[in-house]
Amino acid sequence: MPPALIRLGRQLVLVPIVAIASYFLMAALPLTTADDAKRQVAPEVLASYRRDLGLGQPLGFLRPWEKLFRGERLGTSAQGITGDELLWKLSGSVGVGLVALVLALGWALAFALLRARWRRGRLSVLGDSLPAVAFGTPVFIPALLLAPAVVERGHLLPELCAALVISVWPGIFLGTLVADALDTELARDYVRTALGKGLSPRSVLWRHVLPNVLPALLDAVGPVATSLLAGSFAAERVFGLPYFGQLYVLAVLQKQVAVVVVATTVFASLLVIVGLAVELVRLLVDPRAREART
Amino acid sequence: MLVLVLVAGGCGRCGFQPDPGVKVVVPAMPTTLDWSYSDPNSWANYPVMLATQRGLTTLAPDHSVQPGLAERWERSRTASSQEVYTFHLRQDVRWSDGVTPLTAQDFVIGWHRALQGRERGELADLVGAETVLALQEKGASPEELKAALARTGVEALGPHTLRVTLARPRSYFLARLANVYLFFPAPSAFLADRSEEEVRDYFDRPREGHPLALGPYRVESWDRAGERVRLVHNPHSAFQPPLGPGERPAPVLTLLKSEIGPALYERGRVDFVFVDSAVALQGRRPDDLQREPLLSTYFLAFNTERPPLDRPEVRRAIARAIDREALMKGLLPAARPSHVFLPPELPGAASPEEAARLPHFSPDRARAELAGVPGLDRPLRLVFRAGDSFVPEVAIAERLAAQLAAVGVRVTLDARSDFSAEVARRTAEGPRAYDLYLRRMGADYAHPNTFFTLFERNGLHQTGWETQRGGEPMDRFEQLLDAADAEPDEARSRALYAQAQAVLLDEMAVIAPLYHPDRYFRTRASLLGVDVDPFNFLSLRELRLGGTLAEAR
Amino acid sequence: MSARRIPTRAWVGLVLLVGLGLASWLAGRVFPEALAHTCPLGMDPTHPDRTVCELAFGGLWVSLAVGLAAGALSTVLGLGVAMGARAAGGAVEHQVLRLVDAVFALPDVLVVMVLQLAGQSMLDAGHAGGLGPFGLMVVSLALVGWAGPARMFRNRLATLEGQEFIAASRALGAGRWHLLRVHLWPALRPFVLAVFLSRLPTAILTESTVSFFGIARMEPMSLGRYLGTSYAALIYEGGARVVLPAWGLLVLLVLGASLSSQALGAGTRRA
Repeated sequence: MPPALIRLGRQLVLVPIVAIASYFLMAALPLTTADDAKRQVAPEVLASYRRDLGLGQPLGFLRPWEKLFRGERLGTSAQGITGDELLWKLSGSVGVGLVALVLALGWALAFALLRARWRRGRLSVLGDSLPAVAFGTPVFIPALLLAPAVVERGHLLPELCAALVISVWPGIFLGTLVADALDTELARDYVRTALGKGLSPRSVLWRHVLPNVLPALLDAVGPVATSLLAGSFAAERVFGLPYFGQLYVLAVLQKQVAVVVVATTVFASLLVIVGLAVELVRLLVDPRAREART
Repeated sequence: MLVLVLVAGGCGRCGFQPDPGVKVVVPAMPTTLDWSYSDPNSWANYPVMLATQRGLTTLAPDHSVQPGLAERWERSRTASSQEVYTFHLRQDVRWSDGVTPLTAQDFVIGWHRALQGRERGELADLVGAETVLALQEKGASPEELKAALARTGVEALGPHTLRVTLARPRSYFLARLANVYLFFPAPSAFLADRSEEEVRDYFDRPREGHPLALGPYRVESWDRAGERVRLVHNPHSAFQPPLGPGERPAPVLTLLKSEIGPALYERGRVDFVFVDSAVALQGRRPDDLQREPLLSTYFLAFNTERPPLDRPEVRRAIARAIDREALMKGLLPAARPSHVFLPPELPGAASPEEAARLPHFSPDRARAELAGVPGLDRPLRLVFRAGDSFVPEVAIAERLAAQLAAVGVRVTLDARSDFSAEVARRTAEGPRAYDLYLRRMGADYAHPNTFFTLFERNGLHQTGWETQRGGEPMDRFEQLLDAADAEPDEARSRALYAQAQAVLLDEMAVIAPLYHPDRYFRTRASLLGVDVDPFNFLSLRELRLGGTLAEAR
Repeated sequence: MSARRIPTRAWVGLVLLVGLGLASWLAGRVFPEALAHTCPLGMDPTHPDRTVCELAFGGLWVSLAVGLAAGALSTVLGLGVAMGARAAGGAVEHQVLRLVDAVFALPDVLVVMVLQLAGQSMLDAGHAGGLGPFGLMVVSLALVGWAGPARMFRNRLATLEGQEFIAASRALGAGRWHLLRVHLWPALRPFVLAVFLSRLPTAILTESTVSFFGIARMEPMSLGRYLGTSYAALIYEGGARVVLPAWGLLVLLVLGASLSSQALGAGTRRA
């Protein structure tokens, strides 16, 4: 089997692992005690567990999915969801996430180039402290600062602002990685050769160095996608966006266990898709990856 | 950038567009739209229920009972001193599809469901309701339950005649029908032959004009993740908002929850907002800030089944240890600290002399009574509702803990987002798991009964006081209430209610009242008919737009 | 590890961390009146009897303690998994790495939320094995945080084991335990410290975000929870004095941890 397929397979295994693990974690919750008088959850929530989770049945963990594909609702009538709703909300979050990813890549490049410039000057402290400031800022703080200006305005403004605030930290994080890689690459011989041949520093950077930095960037896209989606939970709440992150948080808060199981798995699947996309891009841009396969 | 353009232009539905029309920021989303089944957190559902539905009666601003869905009624007594109401429904009322008429059967179906719902105790006055409630406690078979339901005191005598039989006369019953949404009718034509799950979906998942409504607005959609409910005008309603010249009903009305409601109001993007945050109330007061004193009481409740609070004298001493003035000082622009349960403005509330006899702040006495009480070496767990509230709960809880620490009672605080479930949760040994909880009780109508129902045997008080002293005090309490509710003479009924209050607050000391809350809100001048009433109901049923709002938009 | 090998930046970071933590602990625990009476920021709106300083600065050491405990636990877990995987080698190592990747791919906030939900139910039902809310938070943070360190340690070990002096030592007949104790552990030690320090801010921020969603139940009030529950004041006039100082403290904590972690990490890379 070609290694590419093996890598694909490894990624895909993640989905059933998460599906089963989250199912059994949730099914093991002591929310349902034998005696109804001692119950900790409302009776209709309890009834929804019994209905949705197929507790105690063989292959019970397939039940939520079966219901979802049949177009039935998971969870209680008031707080549960159907597959259609889930998909629509997912599309919203993915849209925001994609925009944020683009923004993050932009931040990364900008920060890396700036830091390379600052490295020699007195500004080098900035290069070190900016990541700390970005990382030390929970997403909800910039979101709150921006929110009054954009919420209820429409025209995708809340979405764009959500993308903006969640992209900052991942962008700076990517930026430090790229900057480190840039440092290493700029010190290499081929750069000196190219400069010696009389190429302008700019063209050396863009034509020769950046393509070599790209693989380091690709390696980090997976974790960055994770943190983007996680950041979108808080951002969606502040910006009042009715998407997947909100759905997930409310499901957890309202103990809609079947919804939590499904949403967690969907989340993992999303990350797998990102992983696959990264592999594809790597094949396209990184000759080493192609050679490794032949 | 390319992705941006693609996302922006690629699909029509993606991208969340705010609704046009009137926007109202509510502090909590409805927990259900199923008015018959309901939910213990029912206060969050009232704005929607009252805008979309109607009761048999309505309440005038002076709290007098006026016709609602019923145009008239007769009251009589049977030989066995049951009270019988015969309601004659308005014939011109149609559900919001414009075709289906309102029938007496709609009430029968709705009330039968309410008797099996989460607030079924509210219907305990009906004849036969006790049996139905007891059968459900026992876990009886569906057939038995159905038979018992058929014998309850709600019958359709004809398409527009409804007969309601109460086990005993109840002076408050007509007032109750106006606001307590469990008594609202359900569109029976659409509920027949559906399973309970399907019926609940019918209400909770609005689509294609359903669930049907009777009020001036109906629910069009409910986005749970987005935390917004979209109401649209119901042109078929027989209860249109009173329109003056140049005024019109709001075509679309969105109820939304937002972390930043007041900021959105400042920027003109929403039209009504509750001002609940302590920061907002402590700062500069905007000109359009309004205050509504509520017929409501915030109180501390004791778990009467767990030592050391299983002894009334300990509970009473704790009630005496609380300095309510100091508790509320500086928290809100105005506050009404109180040690009585029935607010003084409520018709039928206790007289000042009666109130003075109830346990109130007397620190020396409290300290003396609490000295050497066994079991107080254990810290008591105080449970209160986590999250935003117009009651400054965190501050009150922290101050309570400090005040009780001063008399030697240690209190640990536990803010819970799952408050109702936590308060109901029992330990393996049997009693409930909490020691103390904080809660607000609000009137649904201007009558003492609305306060006391919570503490009746079937109420959701969760204090376990029905088990104390073999249930004798509870029996006496319920008898006092029965007598008071049936008493036509106002002075005598007031005295009986005062006695009942004394049982609850003094003799058994099940709760210690703290203060009577107020509500603050802001609304645009051009938005007419929106009000918060003393019941803390955001009333939208008379909502209409003046000329100016339409132009401003 | 000799002091000379620790870069200046690491010192700056460590001093910042330890200094803040100690100052906060002293102020919060030993001299609580100091913060309660002399606070230029005034009273907190939701806790009107407590000053902003008391809550924010006095809660810093709690957050730091959560971060340290969770960071230590996840580092130890990660190290254990990495060593186990290396020791087993072959197919087992590959499977373990799959698992590590799977856990690593899940976002912290999400998993901690679910773990908190599960843990709080168990806590209520009395099945939590003696863990309080603090322990529960530490355990749930550690349960999501071990995968990153495990991956890093495993790679580091693989690199180290590939080096010539190890091969030489092995050729001379050194046992696995001897190799680990004499050669691998000293080389790994600063790296472990760096990884541990890098977990610290993640843990604190995750706690803050989980509090923001209203899920965490932490007593006493930590800086992270304070920020996560009082954020809403930011939209009101005069609310910035509540939120911004807490945010600043959080940034300082993160700065301290990341400075020392990066410097130590860089030091080991060059070594």
